[in-house]
Amino acid sequence: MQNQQKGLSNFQVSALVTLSAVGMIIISIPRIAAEQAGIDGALAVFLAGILSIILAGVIITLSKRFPTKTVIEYSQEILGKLFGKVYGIILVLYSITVLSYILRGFADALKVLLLPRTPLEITMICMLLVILYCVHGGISTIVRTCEIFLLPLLLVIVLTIFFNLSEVQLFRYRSSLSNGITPVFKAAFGVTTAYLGYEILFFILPFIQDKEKFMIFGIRGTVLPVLIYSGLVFVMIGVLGPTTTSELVYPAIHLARQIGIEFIERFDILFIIFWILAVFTTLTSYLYMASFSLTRVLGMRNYKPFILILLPLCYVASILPQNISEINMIGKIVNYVGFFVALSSIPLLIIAVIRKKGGKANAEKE
Amino acid sequence: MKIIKRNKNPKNKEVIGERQKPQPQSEDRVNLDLSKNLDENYEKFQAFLKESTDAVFRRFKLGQNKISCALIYIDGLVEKEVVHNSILRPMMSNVLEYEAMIEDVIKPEEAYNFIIDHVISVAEIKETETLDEAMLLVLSGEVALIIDGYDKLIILSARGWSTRGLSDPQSESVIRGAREGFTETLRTNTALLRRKCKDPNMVIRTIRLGRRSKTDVAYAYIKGITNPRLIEELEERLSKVDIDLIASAGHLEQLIQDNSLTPLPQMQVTERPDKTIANLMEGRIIVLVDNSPFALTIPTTFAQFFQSPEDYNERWIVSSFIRFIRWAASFFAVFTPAVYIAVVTYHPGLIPTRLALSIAAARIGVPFPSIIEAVLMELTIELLRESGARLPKGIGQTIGIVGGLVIGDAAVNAGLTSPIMVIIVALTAIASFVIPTYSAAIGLRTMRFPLMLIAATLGLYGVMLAFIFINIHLVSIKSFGMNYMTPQAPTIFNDMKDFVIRGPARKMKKRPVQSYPIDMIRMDME
Amino acid sequence: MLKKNRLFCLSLLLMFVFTSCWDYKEIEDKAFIIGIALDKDAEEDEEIEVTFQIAEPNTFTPIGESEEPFWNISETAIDLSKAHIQLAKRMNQIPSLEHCQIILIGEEFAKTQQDETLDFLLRTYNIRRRVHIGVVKDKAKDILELKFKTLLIPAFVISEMMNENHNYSLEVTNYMDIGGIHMAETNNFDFILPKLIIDEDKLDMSGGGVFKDMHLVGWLDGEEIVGIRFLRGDVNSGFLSVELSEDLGKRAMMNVFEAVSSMEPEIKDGRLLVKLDLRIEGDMTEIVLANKEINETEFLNRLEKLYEQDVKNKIEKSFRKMQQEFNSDPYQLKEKLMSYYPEFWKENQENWDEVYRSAALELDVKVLIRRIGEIKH
Repeated sequence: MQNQQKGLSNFQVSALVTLSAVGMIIISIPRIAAEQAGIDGALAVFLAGILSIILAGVIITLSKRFPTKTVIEYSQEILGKLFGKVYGIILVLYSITVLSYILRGFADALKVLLLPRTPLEITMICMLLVILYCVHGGISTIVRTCEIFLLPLLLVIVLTIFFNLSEVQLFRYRSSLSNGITPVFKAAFGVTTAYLGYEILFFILPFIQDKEKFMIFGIRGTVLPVLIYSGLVFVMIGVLGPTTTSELVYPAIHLARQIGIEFIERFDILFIIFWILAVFTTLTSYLYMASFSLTRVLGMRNYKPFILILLPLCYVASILPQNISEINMIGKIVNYVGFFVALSSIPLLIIAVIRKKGGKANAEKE
Repeated sequence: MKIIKRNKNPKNKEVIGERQKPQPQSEDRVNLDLSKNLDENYEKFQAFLKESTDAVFRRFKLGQNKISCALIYIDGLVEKEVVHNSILRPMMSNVLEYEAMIEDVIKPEEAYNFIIDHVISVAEIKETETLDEAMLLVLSGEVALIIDGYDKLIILSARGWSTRGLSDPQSESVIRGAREGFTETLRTNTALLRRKCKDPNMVIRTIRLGRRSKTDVAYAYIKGITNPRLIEELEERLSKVDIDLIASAGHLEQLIQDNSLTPLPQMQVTERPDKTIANLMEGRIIVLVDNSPFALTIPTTFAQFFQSPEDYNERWIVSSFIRFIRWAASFFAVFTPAVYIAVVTYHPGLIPTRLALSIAAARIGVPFPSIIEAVLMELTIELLRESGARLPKGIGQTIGIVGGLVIGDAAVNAGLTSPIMVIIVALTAIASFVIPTYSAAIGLRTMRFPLMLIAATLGLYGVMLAFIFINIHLVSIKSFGMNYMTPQAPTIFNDMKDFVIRGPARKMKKRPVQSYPIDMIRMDME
Repeated sequence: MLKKNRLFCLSLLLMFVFTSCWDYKEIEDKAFIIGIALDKDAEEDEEIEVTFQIAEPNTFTPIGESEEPFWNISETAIDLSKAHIQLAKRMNQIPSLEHCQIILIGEEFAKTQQDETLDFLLRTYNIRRRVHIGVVKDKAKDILELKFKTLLIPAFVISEMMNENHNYSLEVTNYMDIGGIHMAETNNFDFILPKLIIDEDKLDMSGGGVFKDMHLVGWLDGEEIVGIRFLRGDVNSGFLSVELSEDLGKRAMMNVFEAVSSMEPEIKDGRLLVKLDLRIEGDMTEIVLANKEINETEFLNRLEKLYEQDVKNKIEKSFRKMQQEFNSDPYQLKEKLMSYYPEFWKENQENWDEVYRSAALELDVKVLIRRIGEIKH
């Protein structure tokens, strides 16, 4: 078609980034925040969000120096072929790990909250099949599904927050920052896991239609999760208090369960159902990253066969942890590893500038 | 009876308009060129048509020189009055009178031009030099005139056959719209289009498809609005069609569509001229097939299935409300039985307590599990619907009442099903008929059954996964290169005005992007 | 070729999915427990007696009415979760707590073993967080046996009463749900549960049971609860009556439609000072034998003053009783102190009881009478 869009539109970019970040962790983030920062959990989450926005900005700047290349290719340019490939392999392993962690955490939560007697394997396999179908369709299918699901998910989360607003007991917040700001900063590093997902920004610039506006819309996509998470944690800790919140394994569900409108009894089931959408989009994002990176590291063009290769691998990795405490441990590791992966964009950018790789001036030179 | 033969790899790509060689019915091969001898040409025609009793052969002589002529036509396809009064009488009697008047005779060398210029008073004539073209035209309802001494034939247009008059489109009736619908004759349909749009830029082109049926297929578009690449794409697909018979518009639709693995249509099929004109104005192409009162609209999107011409005849607030109900109804039609099964068997905590107890009480006597009960009732409704379509008008109403009330009630009383199930199934059936496009409605309805199975296996989790799956599927369908789910995905905010709501008429200044028209401003809205 | 194989493998995988429905349970195969009563067992010291009230689905069909729309079954076990499992010995249906409306705690049980049952209720996913909890004088199971005229099932009746009646009468306290009790347990604060008592075969729900450290320590009757409710600030509406002085009339009753209160702790001279700011707005619904000679404005002013004094008295009385006799703080005073004065709290965490006992109360009550109904005073 003559005037047809040749790539992702702006709205699609922000929807993709938002939905990649909002994922499984939304139901346990209030607990993690309350454990680490007490009453200042919301502030910690907000600070982590600011951090993620900054890192997203760095990633976008880095990507913009190489408008037609994804991270696998330009990392090889910046770091040299060998180290670039190593970096690519690290990304692949990271994506697989995160995917398995999210899948397993999700399946466990589902077993506790919704389907107690259904075996874990079935839950995971069904989800994997659906993700396979989506990623097989390519990045355009992924972003289009993200677009459609953005609104319902936001609606449910906003409703949950909204209906609980009247129960927030503001007096708790009088003792904010009673321990000073330093513990809050420390806690912020512990909750960056909430925003993991914006690494997709490394990969999508070549496919975007309006490359000039990438910065604006990419950042816009990262802002929305910050607001959502901060709002949710704020309401959660305000209603239940930090001690209770840190006792609940899945606090957001309890927030939804508390909603007491006349005939809506188990609003948490509705919340869980829409949360499945968030998990789905995050998982597609990571599967795409994993298979795409693997193909490019190996130097091939078509990533579709690699999806099928990676899927059993992810499944096997998901069933490795034995119980919930192992999963929590893995979660903590994933938190820091993810943060460092995103942080790695800074040294990449610095090296790119020093070695004069990429960017408009250098493109002309080439 | 193998009328339709499908050729997966058409080796001979048909260029548009290329003639095809007809197979003679007789054993010997006939030379297809015409000769100057009337008898030889006559024999050639007879070789093909003499076994058909509806072919009429009329030999007569012209003028005082007794020049042999012959008329060949198919009875039933021509208007006999024209043949008598405009062809035979002038040629037989008026020529003699004329010769008497000028006191001269018509010579054989000038007979041909004389006939064309002065004798035949038929409005539309053609000349042809090959037998197969002449044959095709005779079979289409024209009259062939052979004159001795010439190897050209004159083809006279005297078409007239009985046809259904313009009537109310039966599959889509509206309350406040025009009552004219397309008929089976291609020319009438194109005429209807011309009446609604007098823009000289509207182009209607005709081709022939189908090796044996040689069906006329016309496609219309507005030059200057429609994207030329869309036209190219359509023409290419039409040229790839290599089949014996084009049975109907629906058949053609399936031959040129993008994706045959989906239950949903990728072209809109409509009987209403007003809908087609609106689509033309938005930059779409209309395909009309002879012998079929349905027009195909290319390309189409999912949102279009919920638009009815009714919406544009009423005020926008009312129309928006009704359109919103249609969307909600389509959602109900697909998901309600599945959600019911999932909630009742997996998560009864979701239902208010009193309702849960009512449902439990209602289900105590029922011997089947919920899923079996649901599937049985749904199948019954499908049976009723299917049989209702075939019954003559009088009995159809009775069956509706009998099926709905009596069978449902009796089933409840016999303990075969619970009243809740009957209500749900009835609501679902009603909801599925709210969707204006029939093919989309039945497409969506077929999705209900796998959904019910998934709901029975995995509860609401399964329903949600299936919802995601359906969305992915919808999003990946393309209709002639156009994404099926525009304007939801990719989100085009300008097009949202006609999506779930119907925006005020004065605000609809720009054409929707859905068909990528090259002229984006609707000129009539200043 | 490869594509066909892929599809085949995928469909095989799909068939695994459909091998069974694990959580599928027909709704009529579930026994919905709608009320639980917990009592200390009469014979065994360690054990408790749990009475489950199970709804009989036949009630709600128009076809045929059962006599007993519910039935009670009692199990003796060491705690609630064991009792719940023991039900499997007795019925062909699976007991389900999804629709549980109320949990009633008997007096003896509340005094000793209450905190043990909470864990089971919270860890399971299948229970609503808004289950109402009430405490019963004597045996809780007797409440479940009561006969009511409308809405035959006691659990529903009590649940609805707990939901609504506190908006109608000031003597009925607001309900507490499992979520609330969980918060109380984790944050270690005290609360008041609605008190249910059987008074000549009829249910009386005024007053409340006072809990400290998750154990029942005493009872409050209807009058005393009024003050507590004002202190807590959970009054939405209710009726307040007062005796009038001789020259004004006999007595009056006001319909409160708004009561805004804010309670704040303050540290003054090392002592805890509880400041309560209360504003009550209402319309008069009854003035008996009013003195018509006094003019309206003055009448209303004096009436307001009378109300203020009355409310102050009630509040003070209740506060002192809670402070001295029970040493229980159901108004989240401790939490507020933690938020308002974190340093003071850190120092005095251990002797909170003493701090509370020696707290002073400062009241600022304002009563505003807006309208007097359809006839003049």
